[in-house]
Amino acid sequence: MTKEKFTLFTYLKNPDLHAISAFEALTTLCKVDFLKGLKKYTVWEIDINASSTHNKQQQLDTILDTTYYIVNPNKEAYHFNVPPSSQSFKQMFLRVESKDGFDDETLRHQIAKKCSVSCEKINKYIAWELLFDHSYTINIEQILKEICHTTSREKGLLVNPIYEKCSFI
Amino acid sequence: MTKEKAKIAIIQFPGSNCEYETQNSCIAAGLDADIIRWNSSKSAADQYDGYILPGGFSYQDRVRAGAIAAKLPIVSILEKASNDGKPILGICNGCQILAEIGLIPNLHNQLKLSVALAPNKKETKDIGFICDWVYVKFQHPEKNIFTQSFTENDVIPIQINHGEGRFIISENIAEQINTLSQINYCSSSGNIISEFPVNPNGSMFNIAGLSNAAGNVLAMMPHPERGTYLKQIPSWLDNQWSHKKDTEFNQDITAPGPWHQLFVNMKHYIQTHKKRVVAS
Repeated sequence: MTKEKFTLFTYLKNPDLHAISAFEALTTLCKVDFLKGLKKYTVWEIDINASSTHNKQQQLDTILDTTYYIVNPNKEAYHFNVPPSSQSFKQMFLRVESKDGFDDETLRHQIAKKCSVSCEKINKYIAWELLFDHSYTINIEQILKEICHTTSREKGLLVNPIYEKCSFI
Repeated sequence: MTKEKAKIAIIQFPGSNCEYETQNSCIAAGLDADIIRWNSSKSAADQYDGYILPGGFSYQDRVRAGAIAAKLPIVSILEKASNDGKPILGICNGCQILAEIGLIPNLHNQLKLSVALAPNKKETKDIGFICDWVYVKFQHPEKNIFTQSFTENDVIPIQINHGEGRFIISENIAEQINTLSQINYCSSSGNIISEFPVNPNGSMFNIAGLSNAAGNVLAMMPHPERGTYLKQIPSWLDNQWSHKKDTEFNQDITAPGPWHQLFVNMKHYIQTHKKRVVAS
């Protein structure tokens, strides 16, 4: 039996109000003028126990087709294994997760009970897609300070560094 | 000569839902309380003697609870009010907003983020939203204007209602926090036990509420406006206030509950502070 990790970048089909408010707060209230767009993804990394790649894919389909635990198709869609690319903007993906990690025990049991699929591990985190003009020279320090790490009323929003950590994908 | 009423503002954000009960509690304590909007002009918002940020879900808790509201222009009024020594109370979502602004504990008056309200946990497990009655007691109550009339022996029931209420303190200030006025989760007999259910959300040091260093700002996750009247306290709790309700409620349905005094303390402080300002 082998393990294989699948990654799903799930997103809302309708406008995501979290992303809209975050973008407005950053550009209008925090005056971050170099940010041109912001999208939010909930990313799932799923390790499935199965005898072959074909079986693993089948089992993932079973989870997605028979439960709403990972994706609710009424309101969500997903990109498989790779994040979406953009031609119009320079993009960066910011991974935000709790320093405590994601507690997958309950979810793995629910999936096993509902659709008899054995998952070795499931991880979940938020990925923010940051969009910049092509003319913008990526400045990691500036992005972390002004967009990511919340330190005061004026600076940062997407990460609360006291209990969250972030990295670029 | 009549005493001028202390005039306070309850700031209503998009998504607030406890502003009217909070206003009621203020009026019962003798405060003149207006509900003002988050986008009020600076001149309109600046005229008050104190401020309360009520419970609710400002901006639908987008990004995380209190994060968007903490960026609003009206926050500059709160920063100025805090510097001027005006009382500011944040309840539940208001507590989360004050933490995001850096108004608590604000140890060195730099308004830097050093306390967070993280999602609730039971030991290491996420437990989601909780709604329950718990007990709290006070540590250094004399160091905050809202808690100054309470004692360290008081054990008081109060309602909690939140999904992100787990106090986490930055490592570099953890020791200093213990010198500040705190409200802590405890058992019905007053023991501070760090495990669930006495500590209902996994807060560090069982913190339910925290003062700023100056003592004029209090941020608390439980809802004092839901314990202003004796009639609001459930009979099934194992506490003197429940027993008091059983004996006194029939005689006076407006009899004050345990948290009435918190709002009265705010009034007393404002009146004394105003007198001092006029005299100087």
